Amino acid sequence: MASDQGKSSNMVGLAAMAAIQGQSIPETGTTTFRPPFVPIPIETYHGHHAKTHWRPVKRLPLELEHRSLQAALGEYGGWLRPGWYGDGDVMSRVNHEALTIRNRAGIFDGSPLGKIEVMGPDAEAFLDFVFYNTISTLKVGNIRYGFMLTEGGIVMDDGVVARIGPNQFLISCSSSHVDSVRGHLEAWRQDGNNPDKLFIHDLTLNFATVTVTGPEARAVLSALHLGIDLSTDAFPHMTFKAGRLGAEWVRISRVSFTGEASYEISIRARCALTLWRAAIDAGSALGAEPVGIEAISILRAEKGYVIIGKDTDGETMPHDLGFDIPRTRKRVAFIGDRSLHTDKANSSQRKSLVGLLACAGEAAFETGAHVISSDEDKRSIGYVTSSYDSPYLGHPIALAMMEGGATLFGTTVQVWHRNESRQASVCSPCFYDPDGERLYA
Amino acid sequence: MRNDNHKWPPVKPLHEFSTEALELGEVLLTPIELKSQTLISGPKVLAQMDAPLIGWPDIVVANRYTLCLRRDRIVCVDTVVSSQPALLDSLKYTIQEPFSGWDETLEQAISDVSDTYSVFDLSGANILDVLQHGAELSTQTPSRSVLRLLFGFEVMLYRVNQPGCVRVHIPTPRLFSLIEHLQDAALSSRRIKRLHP
Repeated sequence: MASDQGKSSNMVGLAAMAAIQGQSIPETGTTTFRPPFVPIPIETYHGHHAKTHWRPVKRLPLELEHRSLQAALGEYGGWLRPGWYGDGDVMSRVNHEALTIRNRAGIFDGSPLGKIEVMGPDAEAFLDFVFYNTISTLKVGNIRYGFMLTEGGIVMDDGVVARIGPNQFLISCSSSHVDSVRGHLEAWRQDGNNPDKLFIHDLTLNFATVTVTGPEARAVLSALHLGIDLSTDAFPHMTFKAGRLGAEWVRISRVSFTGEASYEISIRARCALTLWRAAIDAGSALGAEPVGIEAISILRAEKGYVIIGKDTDGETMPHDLGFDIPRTRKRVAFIGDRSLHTDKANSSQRKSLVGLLACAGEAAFETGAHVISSDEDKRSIGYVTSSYDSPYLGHPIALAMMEGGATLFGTTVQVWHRNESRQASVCSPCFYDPDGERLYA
Repeated sequence: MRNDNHKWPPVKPLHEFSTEALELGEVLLTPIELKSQTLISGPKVLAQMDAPLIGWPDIVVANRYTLCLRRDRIVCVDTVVSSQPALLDSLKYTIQEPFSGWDETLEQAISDVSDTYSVFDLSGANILDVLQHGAELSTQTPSRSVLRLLFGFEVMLYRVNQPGCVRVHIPTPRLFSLIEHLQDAALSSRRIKRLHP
């Protein structure tokens, strides 16, 4: 019966029974019909939630500007965002943008990046509680990378925290996780904490963010005349500053998702176009170009930066990603703490993040391909989470979650996909600038 | 990895909404330019505001008023786009840049959210009929909060100047989807009215 209440199957059954009896259906008899007696299109039930109304995407302040630049727009984390720019072969465009960032600079619309402020006298202690990492030691003006965990110790989001003042912090979580992170913070604010001394304001939509990333990024920012000292000593990686673009206030955060020196410039949303065009104009003389999210995705994989939910799954704990210190040394309680010390968390069979290299001349592995054990069982011991043909490195790279993790660096494993088995070398997940010379430049 | 440009029609430039009223069936949509919207949270914030505190189905008649979101959260609205002192001046703040911070004395978290929300008025004889297509809404059911789910979007919704005029604050990235919903609802409401006058 199920969803059609027998309207399809019942008629077929009745017709079959009538045929066996050599009678018509009315002569054979019918079962008792249940409403709806007349078929009703499923469309009737969805009400106003149809087509683009079913799950409407959020629109960027710069959407029309991106369209004028021939951006290919797609849904990324609930937002309609540029995947790449320009016509022609998609991978050629994406690779061109990736190389532009590595060689010169890319200009990227990062407006959906989370901007959630936590304020109040208990804000510091609260962030120590909701983050895996210690946040209370963060100095004003500095930024720290960190994970948020579920009570089960599973990584639910990664992002950076900036300390704006003694009682004011800014959480820049993943673009696609803003709503869930805000809900998570609000739930814990009201449960186990004093809600009168701690407040959470989601300001993500109030600001547009333009990211300039690449070896020429500092020169591009210099041409914007933001009124701040951009030298490495005055403005090192993982710090932020306030400046002005003309008469408008901007906040510039030196954080990176590409492995290159990067600056995220945030301005009130109504001024997004002013900032974007200023960056494009300043960058054009230096060979900088607008870049989409697909190129950024390649570069972050080259650097070994994970996307939570793509390179992690519902079992991934922070030590699986190489972040083990807070688990063993953090003294104050935090969400997920207890779960990080269970037998399961300590198991040697846990899957952890590694890099995979294909044999010379071979194509990139398929995302989702299985890593197969070398014993007789030939069981899956992991899988490829991200795989790209790196235009800068000149060969394919892949990230994978697999049992054994770092202990298998330098060994060879079999990667299986659709009845094809290929060899892969296990290596560090960081394929690019492992010492961070370009990142900290 | 695909190009979905064709699936999502381009958004209209905001200034088109900011300079003209749009007719949606028999409902008139008028974009509103506010001077400022300021989100303030604090344990005593409801008692600390001098401006009228607005819930549902209150009717705003002041130029400066306070929208109640929940027991410890409000949005201060200043409608006067001029050089007049803003409501927040009395709280020693002048929102000349996107201010955000914690006030130790008042025990308030304060953030400028003027660029978060787009604001418009809906007016017409059957405005509640139209809104009821996307929200459970009745003037017989009061609420201290102006927060509502309207067609699935979280909005601030209250009445201004007269019973037939409703003001909506919607996060700007959702503005165009909401207007599409309202257009459909207004047309549907008009059809129903013709069938059942």
